[in-house]
Amino acid sequence: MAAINKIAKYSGFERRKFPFIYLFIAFPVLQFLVFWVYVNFSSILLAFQDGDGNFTWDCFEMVFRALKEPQDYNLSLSLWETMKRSLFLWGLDFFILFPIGVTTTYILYRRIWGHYIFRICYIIPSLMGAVMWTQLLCYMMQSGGVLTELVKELNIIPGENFTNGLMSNPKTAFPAIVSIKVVMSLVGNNAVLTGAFSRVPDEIYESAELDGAGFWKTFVSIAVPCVWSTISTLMTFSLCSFLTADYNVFLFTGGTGVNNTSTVGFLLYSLTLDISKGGNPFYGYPAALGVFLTCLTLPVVLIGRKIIDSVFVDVEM
Amino acid sequence: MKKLLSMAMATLMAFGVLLTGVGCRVKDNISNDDKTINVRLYKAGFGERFLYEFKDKFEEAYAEEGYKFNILTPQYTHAGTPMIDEMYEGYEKKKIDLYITGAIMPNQVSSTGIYDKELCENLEDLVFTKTAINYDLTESSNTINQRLSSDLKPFTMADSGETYGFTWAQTSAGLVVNTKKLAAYGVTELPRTTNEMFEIFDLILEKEAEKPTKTHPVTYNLSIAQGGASTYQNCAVESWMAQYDIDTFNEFFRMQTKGEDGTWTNMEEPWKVFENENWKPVLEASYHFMDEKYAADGSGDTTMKLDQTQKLIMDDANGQNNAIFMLNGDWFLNEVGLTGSNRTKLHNIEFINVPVISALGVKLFGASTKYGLSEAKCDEVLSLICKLVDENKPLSEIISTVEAEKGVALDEADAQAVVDARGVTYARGIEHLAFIPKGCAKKEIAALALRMMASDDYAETFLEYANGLSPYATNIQKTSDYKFVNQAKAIALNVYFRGINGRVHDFRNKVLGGEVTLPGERNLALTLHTRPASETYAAAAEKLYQTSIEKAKQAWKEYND
Repeated sequence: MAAINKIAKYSGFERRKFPFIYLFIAFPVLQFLVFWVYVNFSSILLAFQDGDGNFTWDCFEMVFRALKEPQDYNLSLSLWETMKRSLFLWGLDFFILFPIGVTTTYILYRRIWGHYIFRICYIIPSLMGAVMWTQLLCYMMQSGGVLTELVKELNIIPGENFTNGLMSNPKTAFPAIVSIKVVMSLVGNNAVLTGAFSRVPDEIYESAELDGAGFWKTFVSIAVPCVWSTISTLMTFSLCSFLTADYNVFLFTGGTGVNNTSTVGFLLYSLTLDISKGGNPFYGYPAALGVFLTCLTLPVVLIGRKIIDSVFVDVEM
Repeated sequence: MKKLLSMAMATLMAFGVLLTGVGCRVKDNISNDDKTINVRLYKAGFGERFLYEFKDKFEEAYAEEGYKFNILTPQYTHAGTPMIDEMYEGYEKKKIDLYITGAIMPNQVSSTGIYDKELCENLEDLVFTKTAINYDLTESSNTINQRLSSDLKPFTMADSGETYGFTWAQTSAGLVVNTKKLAAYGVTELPRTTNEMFEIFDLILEKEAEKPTKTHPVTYNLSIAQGGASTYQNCAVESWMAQYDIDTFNEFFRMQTKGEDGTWTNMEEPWKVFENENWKPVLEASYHFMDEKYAADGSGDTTMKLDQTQKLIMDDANGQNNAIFMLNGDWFLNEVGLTGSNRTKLHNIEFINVPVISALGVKLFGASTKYGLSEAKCDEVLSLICKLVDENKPLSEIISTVEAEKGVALDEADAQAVVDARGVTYARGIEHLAFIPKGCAKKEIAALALRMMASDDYAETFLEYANGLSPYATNIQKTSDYKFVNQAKAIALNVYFRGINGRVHDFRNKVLGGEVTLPGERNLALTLHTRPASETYAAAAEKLYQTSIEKAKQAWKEYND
């Protein structure tokens, strides 16, 4: 009855728009149902099924066994080490690189000398597809590549000749991934944050300056609170991927993840890819690993979100 | 106006929703004519021109009957599961009469396959027991079954015994050699045994130490992300396995034993195929081949692209990093491409079969045998037999020549073992199969086309336009301008040819998952390449052997659980 009353509130003109509105939202709803609800639901179910579709806890046993073993059976990589590596990369990004990124974007936004050039340099990698820039970097890190030659010339690791490039050397492979992560994280959110900063009215900055606030005081007390909703959204996204981001390891290592480079995102992708290539179509192990990681991630996201939201009150502009 | 606009937008949105479901696809020009067969072609490394040439010959031959060969736009995607899905949709709906495709195993289209439904016609009576048809409609004196190597036939069959596939290309894996660069080291004779190959490798290293030119003995590609490039090395490992013991090789990849009636049954403890001392010398040779000291810079880099690696072979010795040998296949020429400077440089490239594992000589003629020969002498005998096999000499002549030249009187069985080993050729062609879908109304015409594709006439067309070899060829008059192609042809047409392939069967697939030589070794070539320098080849082989057994046991346990 309440629903009928609600519809009755709309005029005939408005009701005629309903088909248009329904059709407009049909596509995203359909996408959500197919690619989120169905996919996630079936993935979770797979974690509790054996090869014949019967209920089992074996897949989770495999995950816990893999945590204890020095090498995962499926990919010959250590799951525990892989998780630690993912956590390290996420921590580096979340606690160090992201704040630096916000700061550098602000500096560029406040139009320091040469800011246009810097901004273009920062935004170009975001515009290029990941496959393209990882490929470019791969060439630079191969034997005879610019970066490899630079590391050789600077004699950063004495005695190493890097005949197979930086990514095939256990001493340089992970540091290379970290270095790339540092560079990309600094520029990654530049476009989004510049947009957020530019929405802050200039009058607010001028008023702060008149009150005697310096560059950094304006940044901390005015700019950041004003764009906090954007920052908190980006941080929440980052929290959600705190164990599962792949950091393009598949592309950087030619699909191998060797030399201490594997991350959990890479591991999940490779496991699924290998199964899809043929052989035993048993997705139980990667599905159980996914559920296990979700269980770890969920409290982190919920608590983290609460903390992030409590830092600043939303600013309406 | 507003209403009209809103309706137009709504229609557009609805259309958009529908479009996402439909996807984008090239429209097929399907012919409904009773005498025209619609053909799907997988546009692989062989290209498409050969089939258009064949189409003309087929239509010319059957001009009186009016049969037509309608090739639907060839695509790289016309292979694997999308094609199986299409077959499942049914002939009545799709109207495709012949699939010339790849990456589909006969089991997948059988009643126990992906859809638990027989999706293709059994070609045994339709094609294989019949004769091949030449372009002038004369027929061969033998059946197609007789024209196809008995080693390759099982790959066209499902485990249930039905022949669903028709292999349409013979591609051999082997060693690609830049003989121009090799000649600079005074080597003009290409290796026939692994010891001969390693001697050449060592000679190159020795000369390079005296006067460096940055030429390395070998290069390879280890990238998993680069399709099957990292598996090129597996072709050698598996060839050595088959050369050393062909019987256990088949059991190894099936995890089944062959009964007296020829049927295969699953092993009770299949992990035991790994517990086989025969694999040790094979792994030892593999570690030796993949020793980092022989490899060109970048060979061990998993981010190297295949064309970068191939360039190292094609490049002249100009003071830049380059290599002489590469494990590849007779498809190398197509992959490198006959364009630009490659057109002339390809005349420097030769192709040889994977050298016979020297450990076989020691096993057959070594100190612990009745011959009691030294290791060096064993290799000499092995090499001589290989040479005679390459010349298609009969077994009796091989035995008498060895006695005359080396003073060793061989037993027929021992000589035969070497002959069989030299005949072993890793055949990747069985990954290219053609199928006639179930219920095809024009299956008789499609079968005629396949029978024509089994003729020597077609073999010549395939050689000329695809630089490839037909698995049914018995006599090809045509020769290529490229020595490389002619050498590949000679290997496939050798009377002792034995096509092998490490494609795993259903049972092994289920137990171990994927096409793997050793369980858990996702990138066997990389494992072989990254042997610690402190470990000998034998020690590394022993370690990998033991690890493989343990992993196989674990896989079997998990399969049972």
